[in-house]
Amino acid sequence: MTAPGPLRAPSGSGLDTGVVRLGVLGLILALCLGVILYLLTDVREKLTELGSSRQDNIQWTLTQLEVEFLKFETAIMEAQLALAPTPQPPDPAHLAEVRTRYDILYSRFETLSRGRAYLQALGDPSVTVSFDAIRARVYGMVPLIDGADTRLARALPDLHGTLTGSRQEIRRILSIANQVMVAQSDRAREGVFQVLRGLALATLGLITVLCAMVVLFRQLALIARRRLDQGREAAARLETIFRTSRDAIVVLDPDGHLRSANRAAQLMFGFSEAQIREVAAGDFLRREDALEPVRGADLFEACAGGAHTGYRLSGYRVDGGRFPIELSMTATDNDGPVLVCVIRDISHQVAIEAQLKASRDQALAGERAKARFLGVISHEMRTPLNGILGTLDLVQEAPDSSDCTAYLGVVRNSAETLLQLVNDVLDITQIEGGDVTIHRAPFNLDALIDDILTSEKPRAMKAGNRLFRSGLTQAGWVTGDATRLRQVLLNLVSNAVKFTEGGEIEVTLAREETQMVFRVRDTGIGMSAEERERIFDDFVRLDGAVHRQIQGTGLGLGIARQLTLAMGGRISVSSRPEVGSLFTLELPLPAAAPARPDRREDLPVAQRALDILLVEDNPTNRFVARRMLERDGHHVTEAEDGAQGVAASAAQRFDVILMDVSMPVMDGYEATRAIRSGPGASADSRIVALTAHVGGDIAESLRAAGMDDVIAKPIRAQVLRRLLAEAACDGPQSGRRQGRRNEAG
Amino acid sequence: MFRTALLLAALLPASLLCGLSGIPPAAHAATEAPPQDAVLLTVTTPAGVTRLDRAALNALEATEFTTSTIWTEGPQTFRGVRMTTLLAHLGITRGAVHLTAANDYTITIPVQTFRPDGAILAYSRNGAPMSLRSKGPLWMVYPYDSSPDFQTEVIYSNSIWQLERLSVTE
Repeated sequence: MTAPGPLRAPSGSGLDTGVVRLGVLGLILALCLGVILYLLTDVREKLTELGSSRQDNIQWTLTQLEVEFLKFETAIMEAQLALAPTPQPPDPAHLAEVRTRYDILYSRFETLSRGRAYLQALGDPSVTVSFDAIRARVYGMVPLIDGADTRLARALPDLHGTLTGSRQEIRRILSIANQVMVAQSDRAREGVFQVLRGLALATLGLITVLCAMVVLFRQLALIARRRLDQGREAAARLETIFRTSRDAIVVLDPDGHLRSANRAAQLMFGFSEAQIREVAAGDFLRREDALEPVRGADLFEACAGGAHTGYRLSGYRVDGGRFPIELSMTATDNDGPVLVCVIRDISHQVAIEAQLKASRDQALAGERAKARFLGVISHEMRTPLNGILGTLDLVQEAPDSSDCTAYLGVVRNSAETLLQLVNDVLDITQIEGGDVTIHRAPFNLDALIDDILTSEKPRAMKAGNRLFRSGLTQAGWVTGDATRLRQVLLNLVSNAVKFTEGGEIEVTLAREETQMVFRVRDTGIGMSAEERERIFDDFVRLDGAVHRQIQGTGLGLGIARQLTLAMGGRISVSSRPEVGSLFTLELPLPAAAPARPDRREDLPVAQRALDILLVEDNPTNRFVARRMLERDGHHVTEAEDGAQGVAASAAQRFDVILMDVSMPVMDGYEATRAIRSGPGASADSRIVALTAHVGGDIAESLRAAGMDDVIAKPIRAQVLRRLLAEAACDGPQSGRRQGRRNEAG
Repeated sequence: MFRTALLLAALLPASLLCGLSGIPPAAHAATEAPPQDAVLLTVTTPAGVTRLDRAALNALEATEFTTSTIWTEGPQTFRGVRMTTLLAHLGITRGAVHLTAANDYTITIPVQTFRPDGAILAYSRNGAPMSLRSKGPLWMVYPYDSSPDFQTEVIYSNSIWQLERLSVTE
């Protein structure tokens, strides 16, 4: 496979150079073979020459000339010896021998003259001349030899003389001829030697080349084997990866059909090994959103530019399950183009992502809720504070104090609204959470309307507006949530006052069976239809409000709508720009029987003046409490923190100790424990905790610390008065210690 | 002393053979035709000595071929008796034959090596009897041109001319 590219390069080039070398060697081999073939034909020629000789043993034949020459001479000498004593008549037997030897010699000359081979041997010019001369001399003897015996016998000495004269010459001729022959055979040998040497060299070359080729082939075989091993190793590794991968690995052909799939793929998509060939890409891969089956061609197209990773799709199990997957793939060529896909089941990842997203959304929603909450608190606190401050302005500017009582009622109502608001912090949180608790009780609707109008009047007058009520003059008592209704109506009236200048605000009441319809109409700036759509959404501040620098968080109407819905009613608006707006509030407020008149109780006043230690770090609170107590005739000693309180209580005996809980230096718990456990004069005085913390087990823990009573802030005169009355009745030493003593006695 | 002895040894056989050859005294090969009853070949076998004259040879089946030889110029037509035929006629089937020429040139040839297409004992060349001067009267020739087998030095050495005697050994 290709993966190990750099791994393969060197061995590949080795193989290539090997092949080139082999080619070169092959060429040399062919050359050697050609040379050898050529030399072999040469050798064959030489062998043929040696095998089928064109001549007999020339040296022998040549030497026979001398032998026969000598035999002829000997025959003549013998004939001369035999005839010498008796010249007449000659013995024919001796002459016959001479004739025979002559014939043989003649025949020899004839042979040497006719045969081409001998002509060559006797080819030397000096030799030829001598040979021809001698032959002519011998042939010249024919008349004598063939002649009569007596004549031959007489001529014998002459013949002998001639022969003797030629003997040395014959010797010379044969020596030279022999030399020629030797040289000739030497040349022939040399030729054979040359050819054989060439053959040997060529053969040597051939063997060398063959050896080199053997070595090279061996190297090539080694390289090939190494590469095979590498390939096999890589294949084994890949096979292991393929088999053990947790990700599905599938191979697709261009039609989108599966070529192969690992075990993880089978498990992931739920098909068996036998089904692999029947499954197509579209059967288990679909587009994430459209759920459209994925075609093989699409995948190949996507991979045209190289490997593709992190492709999010939907995976489908054969049995129908669906899960998110991430596809990475690359096209490769393996017996035709195929696509290798690695598929990861990212269900887990997607789930985590969803969780993260939900957490983030929640956090963001929390942030928004917090912002909205703060906005609501701010707005809702500002509204009653406005009533208080406005009324105080009226009191200050009133020409006589006769109106003050009415004004104080307004201030108290507003302040109570404020307190209610603080008490309802948790409720507001609940409003935001859509979980608003409605407490229904009978209440005087007319009084509520009057309160609202009275509290808004100062601002209305300031802006030159006329604020008045019309319609149903006596609404009477109804059953409903007075607090929420006040919130909503105050909001509507307050808004109307804010957005109107030199106009009028009319609050109309009408009853429709159990439904009460409130209409708040103004002649203010109004709003467009598009603005009307958004007016009840949270945080909406219209352009008009922004331009006129009218304060607000844009939450008021949103809260009003939510509260109205929670109370089972409806709120709507109609408006025209520059003409005015009309808010209509419909609420189920069934009429109720009037409760007993809201009268001031005859509060008990302490029988006698008490010595009271006031431990409180806040100067305002100290001032208010001190004035309340002193008005009832008590003696008040102040301490600014727990430590001071402990010191004061040790020095003097107090009837009652009013103890704040959260204080610097030493808090209420610690101070109480110190007083109770110490030997001070007030160790068993009545200790009353003053706390702004309101909660289930706070009172319990305070009592455990040694407190006798708990009063929640803000301190109301009636509550304080009742408590001190009890203390006065109980007399001195009404604290815990006394109680304990009673228990003991 | 020693040299004299050697010389004598060399000369002695020649003189001895001259005595035994039995050549008629007035045999003038070149000038007059040899007599028809002259012995051409003396055959010595363990059974005895046979002398063959021209008539005896002519009576045997004759073979004729034309070939060139390295000793002559141009093609030569030889006529004679196949050696195989001759040996069969003489009852020689095994052993080796020793052929000796007038100049005492001797060769030995195993009987088995004679081939039916091989040597003949030629008694005429180009239609005429051969004289001693022209390698006669008997010349054992091979059809040299017919096969490279007959172009070797052994064959050339075997081509004995001026043949006089034939003997057989086991």
